This record gives sequence, C-alpha cells and structure tokens, in this order.
Amino acid sequence: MKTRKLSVLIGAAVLCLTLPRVVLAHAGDPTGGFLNGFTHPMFGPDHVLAMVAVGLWGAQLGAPAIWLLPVAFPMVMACGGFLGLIGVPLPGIEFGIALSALILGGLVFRQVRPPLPVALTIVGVFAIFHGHAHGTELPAGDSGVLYSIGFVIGTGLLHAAGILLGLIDRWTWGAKVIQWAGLLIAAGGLFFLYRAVA
Amino acid sequence: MNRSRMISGLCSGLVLLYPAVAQAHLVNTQFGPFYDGLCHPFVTPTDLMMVLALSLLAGAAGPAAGRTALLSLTASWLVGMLLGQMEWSRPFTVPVSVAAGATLLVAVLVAARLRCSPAIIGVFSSVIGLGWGLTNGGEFRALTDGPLVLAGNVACVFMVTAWVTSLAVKCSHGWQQIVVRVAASWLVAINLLVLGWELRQRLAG
Repeated sequence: MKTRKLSVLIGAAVLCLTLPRVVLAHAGDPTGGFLNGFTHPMFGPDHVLAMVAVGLWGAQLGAPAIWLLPVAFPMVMACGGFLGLIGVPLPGIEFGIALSALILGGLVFRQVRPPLPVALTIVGVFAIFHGHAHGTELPAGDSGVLYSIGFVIGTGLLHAAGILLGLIDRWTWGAKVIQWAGLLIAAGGLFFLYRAVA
Repeated sequence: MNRSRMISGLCSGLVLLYPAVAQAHLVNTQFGPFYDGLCHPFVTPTDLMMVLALSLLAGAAGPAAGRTALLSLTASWLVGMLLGQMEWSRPFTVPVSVAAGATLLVAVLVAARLRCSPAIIGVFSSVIGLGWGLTNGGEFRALTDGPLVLAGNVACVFMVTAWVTSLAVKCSHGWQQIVVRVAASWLVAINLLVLGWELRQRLAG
C-alpha cells in the first residue's frame, strides 16, 4: 500500500518534471500563454475571493456538494469563457463578479445550507460571470491551448485551497474561523461592488 | 520489485524524460530520435489531453474496457502513424477544433459518470488513435530517423494509457473517484475554452 502510494507520487513528480522549461510551439509565446492563464485568476483579488468562497462553502455543505461544486464550477465557467471568447456580450460583468464574492461570502458566514440544486445554480450563475471576464481578457498572441490549461489549473487550485481551508469546519473553532473568513470575503465583495458601481 | 530498485528506475526515467529545451515538431531531447518521439506528446497538449481523457473514460468503465482501450488505441495509433509515413498518403492533420471537440466529448462522459461498454471504448479508441496517429505520422514523415521517432511516440502513448487507465480502474471508490471526475471536468473546461479560442480566431479572420 505504502509502496503504491510512493510510486504514484514519484510517477506524478516525473510527469510534472517532463514539462519543459522552454516550449516553442506554433503561435505567439506559449510559455507566456500558460503562465498568463495560470496567474490570471490568482492576481485578480475579486476572482480569488469568489473561488476560495466556493471551496469554503462546498466544505461547509459537505458531501456531495464538497466535490460537486468544484466539478461543476470549471465547466460552467468555461461556458462563460466560451461566450466571452466569441464576443457574446454579457452586461454587468464586474458587478456580477463583485456580487459573487459578496453573496458567497455571506452564505459562508451565515452557514446557509440550501438544497443541492439551489447551491449549484447559485455557483453556476456566478461562474458564468467569472468565465466571461477571463474569456474576454485573453491576451492577443497567446497560445489558446496553453492559456486555457494554465487558467483551469489555476482556478482549480484556488478551489482546492478553499476546500482544504474549509476542512477545519469539523471542529467548533474551525467552523467559527470559516464563518469569519466568509464575513471577510463578503466585505471584500462589498468593496469591489462599490468600485464597480462608482 | 523492492523499493530502492523502483525509486532508482523511476529516477533514471525522470532524468531521461526531462528535456532542457522543448520544440514543437519535433522536440529535441539530445537523447536521440526514440526519446524525441517519446517526449512529443508531452509538448503537444492536444495529443496528451486526448490520451488522458480516453484513458480516464476506459479506466472508469472497468478493467475490460481499460484493456480494450490500451490495445486498440496503441494499435490504431501505430497503424495511423505508419499510414501517415507512406509517400502516397495525403497529409492529414486533425484540426485543433476537432481535437478539442473530441476530447471535450470524452471528458464529459467521464465527468458525468457515464459508463461505456468495452465495445464502444474500442470504437472510440480506434477512431481517435487512427486520426491522431495519421497526424503524427505525417509530421514525422520528413525525418530520416522516422521509425525510431515513431516507436518512441507509440511507446509513450502505450505507457501513458496503461498508467492512467490502471489508476482510473483503481480509483473506483470514494474520494478517488471524485479525483477522476474533477480531472475530467478540468479537461472539459480546457477544451471548451480552446473551442472558443478557435472560434474567435475564425470569426476575427
């Protein structure tokens, strides 16, 4: 059992290390494409707040939401990204993104536990806004394939961070910490909402 | 196999696989044409994602489907490459949009936890292997060391398929199954974005 785990870990490490330091592909600067995609969700505080909130909320809701939300979010977000890429306009993008942090943070703070379809709908609607913003902001000349890979991995890691933080929900003090984290996220959302409206 | 032997073997593989500089079509590992072919899928994301998605689908469908995928994908990939190498064959390339669409379809099946029969997996693997093999074979046609590159490329497809399929077969319960579905959802998201990117280029141009 231990040997198997070790071999899986080493195998994964080998796969990671096979990623080249320099990649020269067909168009643009693909290395920049991956890095741009990977860092894009990380360097947008409004995005980060919402992604982490999704993970925290999933952890609060427990199974099956803890894994269903992170499975659904990237797919729905990619639908939004697809719309953004082909130029379908979506009004109030910045407003929707800020509102997502406010609402999701508030849900975490209030420990709201709606039925699963409702939770999925809430997360899905906000995912469209986030995806659309990312889709329209794709830098010209970047490799679309590598940008998309980096972007989805970056977003997924933010969810994973939220879920890992949310695992402390099992302890009483941990549940309190998550609630306060939710309040902070909601406050951040309020700030971005003010900026979007002002 | 004891642990130290396994670790030393894997470390040797790591050193051999690690490219200093990778170039598309064809990657130059400095280790010769076999390793150039071996590394090619790792710097061709559309190839790698297709193999990963198909392996996850086959593994999630059980050991029988996994074995079918391993054999049919590798064999059809090899046949496709051989056909692509022939002088009389027309150059054939799977367009990025088709590659993304096919990967998207396969990954959706995994994410939605839809099990396919080994026969369907076999058909999928054969068609995909043939198409992707033809593309790669055509790209390697001009190379003097074509057969070695081809052997390395097929070996890579075989190893990745065997490894990922067996992992997916083992990951059939609890949180491990969730990992497989999350990986599939990431593949769906990536390929949907790639489709959008391709469509945007066509609309712009």
